Amino acid sequence: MDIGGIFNTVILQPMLNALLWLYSMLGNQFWLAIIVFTILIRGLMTPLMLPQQRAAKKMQDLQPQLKELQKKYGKDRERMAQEQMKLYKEAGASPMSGCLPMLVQMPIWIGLWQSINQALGHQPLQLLGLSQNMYGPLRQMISADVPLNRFFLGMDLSVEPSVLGGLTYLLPILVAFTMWLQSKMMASPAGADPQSASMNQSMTVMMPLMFGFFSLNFSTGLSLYFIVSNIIGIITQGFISGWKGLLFWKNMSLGNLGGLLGGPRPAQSSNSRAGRGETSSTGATSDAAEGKVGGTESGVQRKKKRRRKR
Amino acid sequence: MIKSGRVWGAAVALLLLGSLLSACGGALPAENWPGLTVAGGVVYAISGSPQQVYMLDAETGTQKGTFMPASPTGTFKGQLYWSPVTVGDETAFVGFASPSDKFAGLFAFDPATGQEKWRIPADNLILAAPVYADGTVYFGTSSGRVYAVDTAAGALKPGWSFQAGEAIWGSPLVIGERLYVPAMDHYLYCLDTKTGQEVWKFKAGGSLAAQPSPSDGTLYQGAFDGKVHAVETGSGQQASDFEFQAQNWVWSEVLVDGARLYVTSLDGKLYTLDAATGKVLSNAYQVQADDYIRAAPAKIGDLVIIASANGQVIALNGQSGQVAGSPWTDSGTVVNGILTTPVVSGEWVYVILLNGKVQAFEVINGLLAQRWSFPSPASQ
Repeated sequence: MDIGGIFNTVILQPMLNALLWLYSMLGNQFWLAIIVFTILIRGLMTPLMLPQQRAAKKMQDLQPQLKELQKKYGKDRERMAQEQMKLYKEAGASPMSGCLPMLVQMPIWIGLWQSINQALGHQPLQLLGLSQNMYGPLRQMISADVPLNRFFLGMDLSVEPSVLGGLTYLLPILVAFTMWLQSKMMASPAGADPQSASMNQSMTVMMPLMFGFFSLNFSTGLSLYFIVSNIIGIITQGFISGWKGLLFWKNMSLGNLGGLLGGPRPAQSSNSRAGRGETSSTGATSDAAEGKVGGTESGVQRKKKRRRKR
Repeated sequence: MIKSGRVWGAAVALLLLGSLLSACGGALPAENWPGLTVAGGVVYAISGSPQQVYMLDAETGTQKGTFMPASPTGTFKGQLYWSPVTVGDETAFVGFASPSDKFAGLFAFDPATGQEKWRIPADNLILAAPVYADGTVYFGTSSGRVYAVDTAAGALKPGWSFQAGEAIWGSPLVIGERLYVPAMDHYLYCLDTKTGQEVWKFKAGGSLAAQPSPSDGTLYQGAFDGKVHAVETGSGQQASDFEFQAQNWVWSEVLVDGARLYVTSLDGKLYTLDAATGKVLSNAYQVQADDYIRAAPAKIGDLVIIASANGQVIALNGQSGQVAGSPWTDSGTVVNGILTTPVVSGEWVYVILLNGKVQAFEVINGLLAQRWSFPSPASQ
């Protein structure tokens, strides 16, 4: 069996048939099947996701200590890195803990995308795929319902927002927003570790943008999965590390908008929040990397000064 | 500075990955199997990249010309969709669509020169071959609308309209003043060819995606419920003493040969049935376990030809059901699979692979012999 055959047997067929079974159980509503399916998948992934979310909480808790290390070893980067690793090890935290669930989810996304395309196929080759990937007992039940009901609020779940246009453009925006909110709740507070700050910055901004872009060009059914999955992630993270991260607008002002998006932000505010151990943007850590945690000038202002010096 | 570079490097890498995956999602190589038609000594094949209609000499495979509609915007973007070509009244008709350009319609062109004669805009994709009869061409779209076009005027017939509940993926059939339209909404519609008004409709247990096959006042119609339905042309009633059930969908046209029916199914079998009762007459021929048959069977002399999704062309003795000679096969990969029904013309059998390659076979000493192969223009 080639790799495509293995993927079909292990990922695609179980997912497709689970969706079809849910569809038949839930009054022939595919959108409902996707939502219930997402909840089930998140439930199955709990053993993987929960450690990631707890690790995020640990990383948040470690920020005051990391800040101390920064003050102490800020100029000796090698020593700083050693001490950080030691601290992470002692606390049982890992800045890379988010990678595994992400990797595990990738085949699920691809499998779900293919399942939606086949189940709701509006082109002949897609439906041929459905006929070959349905399990025997389900085939009899589902065949009488083909073509399946693929509409949700007038929107075709098998077509991309970039093709449907109109209000469906809201879906990629919602995907990006809920993912950004989830990332913000999980991100470490602004503070000491420049490396994890850089990583957080990428995760908080780039990943939501990337998934928003994906969602624009993939079926709207997949966007529904991402949105529901992100909302579940937000709720779970809220129970683990508190709900303050949800109040993102409280930090909003023209001055720190860059910080909210993951970019540079006034150092004082980041410093004071980090001292209180609050969840906040990841972006201001660039200040810490420069060893200027107590200043009041913004990153933009400092850049201008540097340019003038040059 | 270095760290900032890393961050931007990671960001660019993520965006590149995203673009790549998005591209994977947006542009599949094809979402329908290529059309193949033989008429007047010309093979019409949908092939190449971007796809277009290739006209080949049916005896030699020599390319005689091509047809591609002119785009209002210069070039077409994204996936293109074609129906098979239909020829009638010295004109070739083909459905074409480019969803990215919001462009779909039926095109009439000169088979000798490939020059466009006229075009009729359509509301959606035309995936099934149009059908021509008495100066009118009929076709259905993926929105379920059925059109009738006066070919002399190159215009829609006034007052003629019909709308089915779902997409139309099977070609309509004209018998006298009746038009029979199979639809994905599970209905076989009988329409008045003059007005488009519904005369009757028959409901099957699954979607209908193949043209019905007529014989002695009965239409044989395969369906996604795995059944072949025998429907009386006059009343639209199902013949009560006919019953047949396959183990998967019947997506292909039924081949009628006197009192016998040959039926292929997505369960990978060729069934030989009694036309009166639907009873299986001999052991069904089964292709390999991971293979299936979408294409309808074709008959040439005593041979029944089937083509499988894995690219095998198999000739069977129509009476005994035994394989006659070795199966012809391309490399057996999915892109070289065959989903389009083989076409018989004279002593020749033509098949088109999913990659657009056309093969021609001739019956010699009761066996199939390959004569020539027209490679997909994309692979040249």
